[in-house]
Amino acid sequence: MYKSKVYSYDYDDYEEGDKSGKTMIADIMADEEFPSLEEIIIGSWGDAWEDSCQSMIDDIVTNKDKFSHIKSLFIGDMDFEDCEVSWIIQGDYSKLWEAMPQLEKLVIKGSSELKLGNIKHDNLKSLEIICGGLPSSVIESIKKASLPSLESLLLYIGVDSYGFDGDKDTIKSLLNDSDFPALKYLGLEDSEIQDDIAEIVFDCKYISQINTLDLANGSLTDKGGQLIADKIKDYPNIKKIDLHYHYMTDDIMDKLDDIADELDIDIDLDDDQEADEYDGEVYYYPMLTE
Amino acid sequence: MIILIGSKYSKRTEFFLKAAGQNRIPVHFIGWNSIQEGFNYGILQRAAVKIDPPSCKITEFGMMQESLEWYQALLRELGKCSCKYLNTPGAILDVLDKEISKQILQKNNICVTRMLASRPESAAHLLDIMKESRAYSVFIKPVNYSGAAGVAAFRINPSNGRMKMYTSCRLRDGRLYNTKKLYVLEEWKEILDIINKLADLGVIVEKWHPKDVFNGKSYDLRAVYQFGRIEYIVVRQSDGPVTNLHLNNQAADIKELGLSGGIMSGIEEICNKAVSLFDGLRVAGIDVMLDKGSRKPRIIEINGQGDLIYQDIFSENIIYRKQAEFLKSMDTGSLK
Repeated sequence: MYKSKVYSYDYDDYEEGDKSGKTMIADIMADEEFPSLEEIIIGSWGDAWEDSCQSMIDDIVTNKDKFSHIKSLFIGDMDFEDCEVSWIIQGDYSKLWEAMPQLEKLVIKGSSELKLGNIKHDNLKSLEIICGGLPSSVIESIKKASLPSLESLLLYIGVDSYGFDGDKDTIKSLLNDSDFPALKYLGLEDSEIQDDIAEIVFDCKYISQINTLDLANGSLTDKGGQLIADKIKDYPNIKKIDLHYHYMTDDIMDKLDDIADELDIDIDLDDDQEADEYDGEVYYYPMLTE
Repeated sequence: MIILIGSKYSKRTEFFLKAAGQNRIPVHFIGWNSIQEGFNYGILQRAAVKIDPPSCKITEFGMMQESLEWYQALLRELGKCSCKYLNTPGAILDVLDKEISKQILQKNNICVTRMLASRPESAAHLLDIMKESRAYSVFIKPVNYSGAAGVAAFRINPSNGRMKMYTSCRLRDGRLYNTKKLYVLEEWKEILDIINKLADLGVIVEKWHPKDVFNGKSYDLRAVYQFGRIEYIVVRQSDGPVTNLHLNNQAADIKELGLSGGIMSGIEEICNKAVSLFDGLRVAGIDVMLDKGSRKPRIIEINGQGDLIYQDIFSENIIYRKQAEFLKSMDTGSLK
């Protein structure tokens, strides 16, 4: 656990005061606790649907020496009260990789205007992107990344109306063409093609090396659940499967629960959803898109 | 004589009468259905009277409007009676009007969810207001309804024009209905159609202040304030921005939030000040939000009949017990 602190402006700061993304990093550096921190979490910087976090990324890069003790960084820790996740305007992280060689964990929330550039980082162990829809340009950057220490990759795939412009081949290519030799945790969450993703994951090279598979928060139905039930026994390396928020029926949940007992693994089946029916159509919404 | 005016089969009536009965306080009940033309208002003279709202099962806003006007007219009639009210009909009417009550609160520098405008004529007018005030996230609330009826949390993204609305309102065959479910809408035409219908009803527009979040859910508080102090507080949690008891949102214990003594006294203080601004208001359900981050208390609205708290009636029933005792004191003349 990192020694951590959340920095977030509240309503009075940015509406009645003069705070914005342009003042955030200066305020963080002026905080007397900052030198002792290992992790900083940046929440609301004001009108995040209008002003991107670019100035904050740039300020960190400019002041990289002062941030040399920060091992974990989260930019955009907001919920719907502050800003819709698909409306958060992110930034270009291209220069961050070189500026923060000590970084071990990066969490990004929001994918609008998100650019990761050429990722080359020897120490990063965990990369997490929470969003309503992940653009294929970002997936492409991750696919080509040089991240030899990456142990945990968690991506919210999302839906097309919120920025996911790829398809199952995009996910297949990400998993087949990337190279993360240290990967232990693979999370591809919040997708409307969650069943397809389950199938792709069980055909990819990482399935034999990971200990945790995370397919939560998506539209996983009995089709995906059955596939997991059929294949999981072949991979004793997997000790935990997170499937919470799903559309599986009791029959499949019972089957997976029995398998979890039999294999002595942990399968999270919490938060089962009911499909929405409207005008004769059935809808399976992923978690972050409703 | 103590009189309760209300709806015969409501939880309010059942548990108020139960509370009074437990304290051996006789209460004469008068149903709203009997207060029609020809009602003998003389029966109320010198009595101590509590007015509960009539039960309303109507979900279509046009019909709700008619029902509301009937109710307001009856409150005005009741206001002419020289009896002793727990809350006077005038006070109930004042806080029922969100435009008037918000103006009073703002004029007296009470920290509130800020009213940006009242009675926009249309969706286009509302969008102009939002653009001019650079407030891209707002709450739209009918001037005269309580609870979540007709409330819509609305956002527009100034960069790309995308819209999002959280509301329990739905349009069907050109009519606006109140439902018990919170919908998230993103289709601009449907959103603007709903706003136009709401504008016809008369709405106020408030700035959307981000609410504090607990266990991943945003929440606000319903404080039942009576006789100079907060009697009961319920935490209303929600996955969406519209938190309201009538939307079956989860209620939690205030102790779970771990609010500091300073914040709790800040809530008490803001409720004290707010209620003191309304003559004849002894009992109020006050919706209070805490700003995200600072947890600064901010009054969302005051409801002159917002004293029904299920957690209380099914346990100690303290709110109604104290009201019954107070009405008894009024009736016997020790209080006026």
